[in-house]
Parts: sequence; C-alpha cells; structure tokens
Amino acid sequence: MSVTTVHPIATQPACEFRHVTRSFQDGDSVVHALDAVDLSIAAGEFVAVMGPSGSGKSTLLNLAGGLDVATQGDVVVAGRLLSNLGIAELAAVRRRHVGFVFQRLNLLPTLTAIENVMMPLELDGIKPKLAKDLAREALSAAGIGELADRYPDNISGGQQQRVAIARAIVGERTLILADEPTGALDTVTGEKVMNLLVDQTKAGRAVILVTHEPRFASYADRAIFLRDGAIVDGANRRTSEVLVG
Amino acid sequence: MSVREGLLALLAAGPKHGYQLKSEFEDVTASVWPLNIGQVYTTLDRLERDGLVAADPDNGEQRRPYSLTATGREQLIDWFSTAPGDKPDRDPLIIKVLVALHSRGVDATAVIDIQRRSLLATLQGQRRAQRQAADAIDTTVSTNPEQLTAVLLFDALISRSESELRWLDLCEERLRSLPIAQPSLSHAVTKES
Repeated sequence: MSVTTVHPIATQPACEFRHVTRSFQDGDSVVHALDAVDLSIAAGEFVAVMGPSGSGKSTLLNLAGGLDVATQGDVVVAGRLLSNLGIAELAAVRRRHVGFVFQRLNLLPTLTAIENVMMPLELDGIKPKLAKDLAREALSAAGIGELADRYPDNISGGQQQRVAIARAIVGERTLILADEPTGALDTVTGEKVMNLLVDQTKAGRAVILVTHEPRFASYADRAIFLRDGAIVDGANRRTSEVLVG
Repeated sequence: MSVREGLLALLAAGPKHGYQLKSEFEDVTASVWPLNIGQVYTTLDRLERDGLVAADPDNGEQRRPYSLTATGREQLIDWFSTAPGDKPDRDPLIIKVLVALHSRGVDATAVIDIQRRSLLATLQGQRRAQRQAADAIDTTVSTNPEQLTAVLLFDALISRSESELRWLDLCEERLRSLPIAQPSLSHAVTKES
C-alpha cells in the first residue's frame, strides 16, 4: 500500500493540550467536561482515548479539531494556538491540518468517492486538477483507488469508511481525529480500518482515536483513559495509592 | 485434557510415531503447548491401554507408528461434538477485584485502574505479535496455514484480554452507580452485617 509522506516539523507536537479545561453551565453548577488536561501528541504518534460515557472523550476530540473552544488553557495544533485564531483562521487550520473520521461517515451521497475526498481541498481553494490528483493519491493510500468513481451507496460500509479516511488524510493533514470509526463495522473490517490508521502514523501523521473498544485501542502506541474529564494514568498509580485507610 | 484428543485427531490423518505427533501437535497449536517426548509416549501408552490407538506391527524400524482404532475415532468425534464445559469461576483477576471491593481501606477504583493499564499493555503486546505473525495476512493467509494458526491464536488471546478489560469497565460503571461513597464497599458490608 502506498503511503503519502507528510513532512511535519519533527520538533513540534502534532497536537498539544496545556492544562485545558472545558466547562459547561448546568443550572446553578458548573460541569467540567474536561478538567486541566495536559497532553502532548507527537508527529507519527497514535494515541487511543478511552473512558466511560461522559468522561470527556468527545470533548477532547472536538477541542483538538477546533470544533469547540477551551474555557481555560491552550490547545495547539500544527504550531497554532487555536484560541488566538478567528473563525476563518480556525476553519483554515481544520481544513489544512486536521482530518476527521466519524462513526457516521458523513459522505455526501450525491458525490462519487473521489468527489467526496476532493471537497475539503476545493473548499480550500485548491484547483480542481490538483485536488483530483491529491484525492486519487489519498484513495490509493486507503487501498480503494479503484472505487474512485463509485457512489457511497454502491460500496460496502468498510469501503465507505476507507473513503472517509481518504478524505481525512488528503493533502498534508498532520492530525487525524477518529471518533469510534469502527463502530458500524464488523471486527475484521474494523481491524483493516485500524491498520490503515496505523499506516498513517508511518507517514508522519498523528492519530487520536476515541474508542470504547480495547481491541481497537490496542493498535495505538499509547492509550489514555479519561474519567470525569481528567486523565487517569494507571502507570503512575503507585501501590501505596491502593491502600487509602 | 486435550493432549489425548489432540493426538487422536492427528492420528485420524494416518499412522504416526511419537516424534511426528509431538512436532505436529506443536505446529497446530502454534507452540502454546510444548510437549516433551516422554509425555507423548506416556499418553500413547494410555490411549493404547484404553483401546483408542494401536501400535502398528513391528516393521523393523526403530520408531513404531501408532494408528487410530474405531473406538478412538468415536471418542474423537465425541470430543469435537461436545462443549468444553464451564470454566472455573476462580479466575485470579475476578478474585482480586472482588476482594478489593470488599476490603476496607482499599481503593477499588485504583486497583481497577492498575489492572486495566496492565491488561491494556498485554493486549498491545498481543496485537504487535499478531501483526508480526500476520505480516501481509491478506495475501498469504490462504497459502500459509502456519500463519493462520498464529493469527487465530492471537485472536483468541486478544479476545480474552478484551473480555477482561470490558469486565473491568463494567465493574467501574457499577461501582460508580452505587449510592454509597467510594472507594470501597467495605463500609456497606460493615453496615449490613
């Protein structure tokens, strides 16, 4: 499988959370969906985020993708401090540097596979000819070059997820954010999708995968576990902590 | 004990001597169950005593092959057709967490965290080993049964670790839904008793 190599600045993390809190007002009380999280994800690193429902997994992903804004602390993606960016600049960082893969595929049914993949590039003002070449390259990297002209309805769920991944990696994206991308797939197809995400890290992209499936989390270089908006690190829990009385 | 039935199954393909059986048993089980040759011959002796295999007539060679008898074939069919039965409930992880839940002064959630971290590391190791075994599995699996054996073995180990991790998640969820304060059930136990 061909892998497009991106050229991240090696010394700079692909994504960094510096003491990030995201709070919501719930009646009279304040709920911390994410509570003072510090996290640094290197270029080429694959990190799985696990934790029970409501632990802050999706909030973390939304903040990393610039879809949500931190209440406190800094989120840095591709060297850009997201809180300093205006709406248009934020949208540009999302389009150029961040790729999203969701459980719901969000492919447009009236566009072919290649047109779906080209769309973020065209939105970014890249000329159709170049956009098409880059999209073709991304589809090949996702192992489905031959499906370029098929419509989403005419390909399997696993193939649709590959199109979604191709759309997420097209161009020079350095950070892939995947939210339960295997949720609608059988185990073997899910494992192929995970292998494809691993391939992306070999190309220098960082991947953040939100999953509740240990089977898929095990593909990551590192798994972090969230509870009540904070990272629980079993590795740092000492034996002495077990005894509290 | 599956060694008996494993040997019967290998003999169903034709007569074999002890060293062949040892080597083939290890191949089909991806070497997770290494046998020593003494164990193979002791098992063959017992199988012969029970009428399930027969040593072939002395053909002058040093190693005498064994064959499956009709009774042995029936027993093998029975083995394949019956479920292995319930596994014992005394799983070390289950016991550890249950004891932690009921121990005063033990933070059960911390115990669960540590077990989870360790199991996840195990699962990652199993995944890496499987990826090595399955290098280019898509194209070679149909022509390489040994590779498939290893992949299936890791599938089993991964599924087991995954099931334990799911159970730990469930423990935590149930613990959190309890009205009593964390970190241990010991207070509840004390109050009830």
